[in-house]
Amino acid sequence: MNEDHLSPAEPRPNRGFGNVGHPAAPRLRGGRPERALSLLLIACALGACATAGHAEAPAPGSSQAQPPKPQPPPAPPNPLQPLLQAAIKNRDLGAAIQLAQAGNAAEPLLRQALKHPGPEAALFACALHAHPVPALAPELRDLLGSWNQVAGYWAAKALGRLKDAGSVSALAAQLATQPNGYWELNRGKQKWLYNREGAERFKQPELAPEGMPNIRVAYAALLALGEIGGPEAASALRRAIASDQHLIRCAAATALGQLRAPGDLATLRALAASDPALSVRAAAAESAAKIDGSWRAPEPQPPPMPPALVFIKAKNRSESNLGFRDSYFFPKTPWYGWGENLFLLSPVAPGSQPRNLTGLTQGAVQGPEVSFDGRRILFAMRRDFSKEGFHIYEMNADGSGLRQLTSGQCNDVDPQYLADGRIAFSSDRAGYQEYYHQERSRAIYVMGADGSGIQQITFNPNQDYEPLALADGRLLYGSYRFYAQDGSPGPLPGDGFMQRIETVLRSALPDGSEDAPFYGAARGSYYSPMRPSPIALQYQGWHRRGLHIGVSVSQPRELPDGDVVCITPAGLTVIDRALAPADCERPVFPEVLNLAGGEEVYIHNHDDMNPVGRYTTPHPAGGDWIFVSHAPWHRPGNDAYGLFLFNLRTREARPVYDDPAASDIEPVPLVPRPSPAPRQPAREPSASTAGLVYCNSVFNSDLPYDRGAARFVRVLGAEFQPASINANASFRSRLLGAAPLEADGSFYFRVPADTPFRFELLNANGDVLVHETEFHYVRPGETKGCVGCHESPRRTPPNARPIAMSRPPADALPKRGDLIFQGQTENTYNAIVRE
Amino acid sequence: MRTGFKIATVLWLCAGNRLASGDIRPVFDEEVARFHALSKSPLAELRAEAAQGFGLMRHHAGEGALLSLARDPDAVVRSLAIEALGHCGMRPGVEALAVIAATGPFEERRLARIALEPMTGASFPPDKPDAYRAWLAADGWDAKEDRLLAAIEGTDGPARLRALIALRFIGSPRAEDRLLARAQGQPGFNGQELRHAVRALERIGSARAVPGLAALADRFPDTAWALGQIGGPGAEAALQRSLARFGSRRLDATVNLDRIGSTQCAVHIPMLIRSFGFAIYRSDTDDLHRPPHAAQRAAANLILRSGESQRVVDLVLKEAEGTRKDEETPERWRGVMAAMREELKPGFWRNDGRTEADPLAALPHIIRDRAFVPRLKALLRHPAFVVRIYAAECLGTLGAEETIPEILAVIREPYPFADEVQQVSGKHREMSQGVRWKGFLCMALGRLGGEAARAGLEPLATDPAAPRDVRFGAVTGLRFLASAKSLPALRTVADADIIWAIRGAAADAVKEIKLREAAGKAVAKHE
Repeated sequence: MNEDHLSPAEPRPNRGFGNVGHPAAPRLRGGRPERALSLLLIACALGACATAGHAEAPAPGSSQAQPPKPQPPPAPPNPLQPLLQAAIKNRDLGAAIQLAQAGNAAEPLLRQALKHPGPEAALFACALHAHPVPALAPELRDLLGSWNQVAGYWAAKALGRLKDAGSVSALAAQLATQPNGYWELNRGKQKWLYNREGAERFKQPELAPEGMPNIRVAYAALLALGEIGGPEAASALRRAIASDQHLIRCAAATALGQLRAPGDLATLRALAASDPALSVRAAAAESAAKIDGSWRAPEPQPPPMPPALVFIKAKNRSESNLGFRDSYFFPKTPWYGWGENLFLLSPVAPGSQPRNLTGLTQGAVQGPEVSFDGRRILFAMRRDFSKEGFHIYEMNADGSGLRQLTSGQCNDVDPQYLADGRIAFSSDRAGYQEYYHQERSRAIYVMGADGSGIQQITFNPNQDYEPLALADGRLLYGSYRFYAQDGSPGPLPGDGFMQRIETVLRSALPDGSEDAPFYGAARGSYYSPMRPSPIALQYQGWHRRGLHIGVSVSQPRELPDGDVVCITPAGLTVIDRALAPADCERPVFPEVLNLAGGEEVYIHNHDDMNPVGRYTTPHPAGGDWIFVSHAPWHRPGNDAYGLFLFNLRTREARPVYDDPAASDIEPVPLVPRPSPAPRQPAREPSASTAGLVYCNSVFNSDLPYDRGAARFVRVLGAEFQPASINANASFRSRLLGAAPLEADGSFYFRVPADTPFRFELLNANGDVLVHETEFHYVRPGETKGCVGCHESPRRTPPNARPIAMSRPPADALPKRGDLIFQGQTENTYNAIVRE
Repeated sequence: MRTGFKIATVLWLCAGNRLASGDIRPVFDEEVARFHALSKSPLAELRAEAAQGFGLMRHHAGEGALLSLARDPDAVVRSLAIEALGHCGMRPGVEALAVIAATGPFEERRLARIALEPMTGASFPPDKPDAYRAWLAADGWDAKEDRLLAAIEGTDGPARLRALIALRFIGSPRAEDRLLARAQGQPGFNGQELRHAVRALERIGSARAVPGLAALADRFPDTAWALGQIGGPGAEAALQRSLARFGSRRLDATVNLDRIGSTQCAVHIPMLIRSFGFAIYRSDTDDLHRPPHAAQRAAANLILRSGESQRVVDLVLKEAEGTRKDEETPERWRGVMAAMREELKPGFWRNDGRTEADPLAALPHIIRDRAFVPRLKALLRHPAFVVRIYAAECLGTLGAEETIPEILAVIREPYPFADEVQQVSGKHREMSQGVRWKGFLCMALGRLGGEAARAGLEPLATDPAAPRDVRFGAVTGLRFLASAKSLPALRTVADADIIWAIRGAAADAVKEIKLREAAGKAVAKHE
């Protein structure tokens, strides 16, 4: 099943638990019957109803279960017309499939629906993928080049299912012949590349030239070629291996595995060894294994169901990702991924009715977590939405014994049990404001099991949230970073005003020490590699030092093998922990890459270009399986998320529960799990208000600056901003100190603890050679070092004994009268300063 | 009412004229004097501030103090002074640094050597610590200067640049004519060389250099420092042009026009009154939680000396009151005043990336006439919160203690939302309806000062039920107020407030108040 990359929204045979018939009962009793009917029909299309055996489930083809009221004459010209209309009106994939199954009588209707590449064409193309109708291949081929890339994507997939040799040429034509030869965004019917330089957003689009293929359609077309096979298909796939786009190489490598031609083995092995993108290497390795016979199919059976599942219901939420972090838009919607009430589903079985654990009528809940022994539930709750902030609560697994752990005039969210019994959470009680939109920053805190001894452990001038206790004792957390919105430049002179926004994953020990990047920084070039904008203008495509754009990574969860599943610009993504922080990502649906046309770098903001649907709040379920909240691509309504059991390798999805009147999110199984390893910080307990930081060599860098000109390093501290009311950019830097750079490029400073700082390299005149855009911090008494600038921490340090470490550290501590400035030092605030 | 306004008009005109002819001290002079005073403090922390301050100014006025600080018993002070001497030193500074380069501890030797290289135009290997002393002893200053001038007149580009840089530090007035002749000859200096020639003329130039400098004032804003150093009508005219060309947000022209005591800046008032930042302006925020910054102080001085300051205040207040008439407004000011109107309407919160009501931010810096107090008091309840903030700030400037009860009453009125459930800010208007502005009124109370303000602020700072912006503003206000009597309240906040940043602000305030107690008069107003 995995080689065809089926979407979980696609019909597929159901195996064992999670049969689509199971959740039908609650849906049919209330909510929207057509939604339940749709899922049922999808299942019926593949014969699943025969095994469903649910007493209340309507019979196959039971659109008559709630038939439309009889209409007065004249009778419809085609008896299937109502079914067509129902499918279109309700975006009902089940009805569309039923139509596809209806035989010759339905063909004129389907043909008509496919002629206009609107949403209905996408729906019926998807239906034809589920139930191929050979006579409609010409119409499907016509969709490949349409402006509706979702329709094109499903048309390509349907043609693959048809195994129609007559479609190979059309599919092969989706392979670009030039670098950057694909379009990836559409605004309505426009195939939109980017805006002309300096143009107002979307007002002067640079459109794709006639005949340029869409990259998502090309991806699906290449997979289809793998299904169809034959010399012409194989030839196209072999050409595609050399594409400049890793998504195309990934598809080609996967499809060649389906052809299983021994002649491709060497090429695939070479690709598996040396392609710069992990997703391509993984696909090539799997295909090579299929050819040499070493491949083993993934275990199709999911793990046993937990006895109970805790989750949240959220009603009528218009945000595409329910308020979870989504790149640029997050600061405008700094909510907490909340819903109205916490529910317990037990048993996790067909027909089971969830029990409301919180009983709120105008409150909200957020961030459920289950203790390591499986006996307690930790979550955030505000009992009155208009009067009270979120605070951390704990209850017994059966819902009894509710205890409030935090209180006060603040919001405490994202609770997380730690190995030593304490609790980590994020809170806006830091009291400063993130330096873009001036919302209250959240930071990570820890406290005792009873809520005592609250301590802040992270110190990012923007926002930190979603702490996750890793098995090795570290804390993983999400960190929102807005580089240089204060008006400071990019890293090199001439880079200009830089406004890269990123939400990345970082790790630290539970006391906040050893804070370091984990994944996400500067990975935009992976998620959207086409058409980098040399002038880095907003709305003009991706540049890795781009303006106002960046990668958003959130909702991390650790898988049993130590890898991390999270939500990235491509939705569900697995991060290979051994390879992080770079070239370590395996998007589960790589075809939704390349949506980064500007600041909206996030799949959830692009329903009209998304053929796989939305995913949010994954949680490990065992092996390759996760629980996840999913909204099908063809039905992105406000209450569209349901709970699924999902296989990260095969993309198989099994419905678990769906209340059609609400989005069901944050599934957490109520089962015991191993406690993380206790991890002691390396720093000495200290009353000091400072820490130490060194760099092995600033020459160990990928930045093209004049090494010979570097004379000084200076340290800039962040000034927290607790009272800004401006629109943005009130961030201030403090010049903490400077010291000569050693001949080997090393430096060594004493810096204030719990204070964000960054470095600048200066020449002899004091001019900036390199401006670091990232912030670091140390905890009291901590010593932190780096290998270089922009280098992997795994790289061997160039200096065995950095010269700077042979001397006492230079002081870069706050002093009365330090220069405080905005962006660049000439924008001063407290002193007469001359550059 | 009409008679009252007339009396007020006469009063502020008198006040303005008095201010224009009076004793407004230039910011530059204030800062130099402050750093000199700090350099003599028994507290190493303040001596370090002096060394650092002179180093940032890069002006030779600091050299004498820095020579002493370079021998300070405190290592941090010494390092900062050595680094600052590299910017502020002249021949005595070079001599002192040469000794340090030969005999100081490693770090100071290294800093001195790095400083001496551009100052002398001579470079020696690090393992020759006595090289600069030998270089000094080899011949006299005149000979060294002659070599630099010869290099300037030569064809070796890098040597010419090194010599121009060094001339700033070891040149003397006798070099002025040759430098000017070379600068005006053919081929002329390139841009980089011109900048360094201007910097040298700042230290060795006389009125003879002004025409040449004036010609560069439109090109290099840095030229303002040389013009401000030399002074005179020609320099002032050039600085006026530089101000018009580069605007008032650059320190160069503003500070140097202030430095020469210019009274001729009325023509720039529409620009100057928009140079104070604004609490809601994203590109140039007015940091009301900090002391006034140098550019604000210098711009205020220029407005005050123009004799128009209280008229400006009156008209801006009238605009806020909705009573301003164009016929009573100088024509060149009308546009600025009228542009404020949209942002002073009820319900306006802010724009993204631009602002028009920023003349309000000038008022606290230039208001002097207590006759404005009743009008300001009324504006504490203006529909636009920015007016309330700056009205309170003005009352703080005027020390209007009689308005403290009214300011406190406004602060104590609750926000129409619960603090923890409403977004604080948000860039976009639809998310900007929860802006917390009352903390700024607390800061204004701190500026206002006095026992009544302290008595009002301390309960606000320590009340856990008060909104956090009010608590932070009260702590900041108490820091401005700087009364030792507030230490218990501030310590309570530093220990117990739920908010990390408020605890930190309170701890800083305690530290600052104690330092002021220890330092006495050495810590001046603008810190």
